[in-house]
Amino acid sequence: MADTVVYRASRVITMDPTLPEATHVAVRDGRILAVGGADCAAPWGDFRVDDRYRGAVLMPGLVEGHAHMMTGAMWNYAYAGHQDRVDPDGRTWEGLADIDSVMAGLKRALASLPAGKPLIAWGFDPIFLPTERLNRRHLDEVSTDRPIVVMHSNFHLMTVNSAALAVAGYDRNTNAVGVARFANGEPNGELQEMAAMFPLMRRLGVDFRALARGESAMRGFANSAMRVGVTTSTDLLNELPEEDIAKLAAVTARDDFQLRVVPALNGMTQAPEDVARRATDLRKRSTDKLRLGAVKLMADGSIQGYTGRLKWPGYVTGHPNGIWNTPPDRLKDQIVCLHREGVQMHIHVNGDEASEAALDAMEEAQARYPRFDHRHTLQHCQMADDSQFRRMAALGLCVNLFANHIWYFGDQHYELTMGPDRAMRLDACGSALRHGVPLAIHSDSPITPIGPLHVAWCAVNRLTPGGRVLGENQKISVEAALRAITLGAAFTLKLDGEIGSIETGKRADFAVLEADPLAVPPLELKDVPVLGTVVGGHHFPI
Amino acid sequence: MTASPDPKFAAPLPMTVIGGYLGAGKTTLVNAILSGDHNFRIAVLVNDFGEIAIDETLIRARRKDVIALANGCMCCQIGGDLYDAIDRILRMRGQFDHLLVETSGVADPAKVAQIAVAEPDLEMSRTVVLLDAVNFAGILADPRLNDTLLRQIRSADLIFLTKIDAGATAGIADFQVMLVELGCSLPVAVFEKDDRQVWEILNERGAAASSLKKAGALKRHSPPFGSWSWKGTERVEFDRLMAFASDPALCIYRLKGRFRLTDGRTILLHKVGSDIAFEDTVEACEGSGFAAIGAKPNFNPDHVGQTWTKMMAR
Repeated sequence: MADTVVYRASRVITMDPTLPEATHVAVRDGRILAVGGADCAAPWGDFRVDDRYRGAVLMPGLVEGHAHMMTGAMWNYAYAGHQDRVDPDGRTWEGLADIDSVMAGLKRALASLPAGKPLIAWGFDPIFLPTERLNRRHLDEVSTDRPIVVMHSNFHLMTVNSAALAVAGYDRNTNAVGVARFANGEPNGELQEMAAMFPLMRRLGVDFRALARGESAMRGFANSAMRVGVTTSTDLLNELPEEDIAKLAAVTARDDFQLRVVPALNGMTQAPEDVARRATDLRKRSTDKLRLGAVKLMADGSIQGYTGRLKWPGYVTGHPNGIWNTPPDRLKDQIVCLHREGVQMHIHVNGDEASEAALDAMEEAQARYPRFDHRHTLQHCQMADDSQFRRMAALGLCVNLFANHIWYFGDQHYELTMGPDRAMRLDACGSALRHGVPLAIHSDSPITPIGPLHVAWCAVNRLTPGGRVLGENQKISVEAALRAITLGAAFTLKLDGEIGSIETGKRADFAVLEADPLAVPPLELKDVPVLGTVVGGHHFPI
Repeated sequence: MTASPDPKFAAPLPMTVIGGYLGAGKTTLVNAILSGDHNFRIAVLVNDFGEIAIDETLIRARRKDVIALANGCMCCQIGGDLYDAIDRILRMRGQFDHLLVETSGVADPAKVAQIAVAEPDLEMSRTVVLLDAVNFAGILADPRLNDTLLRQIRSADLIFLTKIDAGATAGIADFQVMLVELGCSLPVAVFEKDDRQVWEILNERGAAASSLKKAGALKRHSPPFGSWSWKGTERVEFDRLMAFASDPALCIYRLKGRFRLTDGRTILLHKVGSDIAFEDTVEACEGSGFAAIGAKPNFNPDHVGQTWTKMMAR
């Protein structure tokens, strides 16, 4: 008979309403055999006690309902962001607070770069630098002969040095819109939007998405997830070509791979009927650690990039309304078809006009093909008002709110996109719960760093770096936030029957914490140290 | 690392962008070009392969996302990423004379065109935007889509009208009025789906200098209309305005405008054929303005303009 191991902890937070709290959990065959006190496994025969977590708090393994595998690929390049960030190997990359430290950081990275390779950095954000805008002259001080590319954190801009401009053939006679200039007409090194960045990226071989498909990206992603207590994560937009599925299945199956992965098929590049067929086929190929079958749709762009679709009165700066990634009529065709075929959808909607279009489509889908418990989930859904949450509840939709935005972009939303009043309902977790909409919250890593305790901290405190509280009445309790990053997120993935809580029969997936998140002051929730994870009974200490 | 433009090739690859909302006829145009009478080896990037209908006898090879034709053309599905697709074409660009990109129905073609402006291995040729005469007004009236459509129109340097018979004079005139009112004074051609010579028009810009014969292609396809529009802050005298609008010598078929009158009123005026209707409006406006359309050559925009200016000067 298989071994039974009983883990003693200082506290086990189960998320199981029958037994919310315990001190011991028994594991057999990678699953939870029993939960309770020291004798919980006694009825099941011999067992041994493992004390390694005796001083720690065990939670259900945290679930990231919206992230991307690309998280693991970024670290092939140098980090140049404003905030400290931890790489998959646990090394903290210090935030670079001004241009001088950005340049010093680039010089260090250049020194360790193999000869002949261009220097690529990512995560840079000029919004946070109070001085002159970064330009080619700064980067020329780092190197005049090696091409240097500093990708901004939004992936829509880059700043490059003169050697890089030469690679793309950009000079004062270049007439492309996105090639920014100094007053004297020379390109200043800032390239705006993909059209202007493309000539450089293809010549220097910069391809973040291709990197995201390799095993090293998968490993990096799983490592990064483990460091923040995540045992299951989505990869919420994937073309899932045949060769990638085989690789995903093989890599995730290994016992030393720390993550269950839930990729969502890109549902926008084929006819809805073909997407439905493909998703249904994929679902059958799921394994314990690779869960296939869900589809991703995208209605609009992003609010901070002014590409989200907003209802009247639109952007407070007067920017023109954003763009449809999928126009409302086509979105409706996709949603009705996939709903009819029983395919679960994750629907990207940022602005309130986009969430409204998705709700209209869902209304038609439910009227024509009524279905219970479909678990379709509105993703981001950052501007929904109460009327939209009421409709979500009526239509059986789940919502996965981008609570990290409150901290990372909250002041920008207050000042530059939605204005003060609508910014108060940014990622309205309180409304979701009041209307009974199943709630998850997320990081959209690498857009913001993966870290469910940080996301929960945002939902609980709603603080911005500028010291604002964005919507006192949209705060949720620590208990509710912890539920949203475990069982709540698992529910949106239809995995709540096997993960998301510590209950007999479920998978032995735990987050190992140094302190009790229910006991620390809510303002310190994000600082609760993660000691590692357990996935299917396998231990991954940091 | 490659210097640019790629020295293996003498000249950059010309690129044409096809824009237009869903259902405007972009795929029909692609089909007509791929099987048309021309000697160009055109690489075409499309969004949806399913709707590509090529005579099977023309097909040399068919793979999952590529159809190669006997005439040297090739059609590729864009799949997830337009940039990847363009990069793939550029890697084999010695095989092609031209790149044609069908944008998605909600794309801003100007952004796609910027790819060719920035990329040294590409050269922007033109942006044609297809407008569906049947559904145009409906899309324009939808506040969720109105701005998408206007961006498409603004990005065009040639407009193709679709789903309209080239002989439907009244319908085409209405359409031109709408476009002029939207601030678009571009050449308009009617595209009918069996038009095998359509590539001549699209490629006209490049060929115009060298071939007078080809330069006439657009003219042959264009509806026989001229237009003239005016905006100003001056007040207009009602009787003179009516005389101008009904002047048979000007051959105005359609006129639509808003006028601040010398008597203090502001009116909307419509003329269709010989019917003239007007009504008071209380909508706030800065000044007056109108667009007039008529069949050429009887309608002469210069003459209409001179008549109006003379009238206002009196």
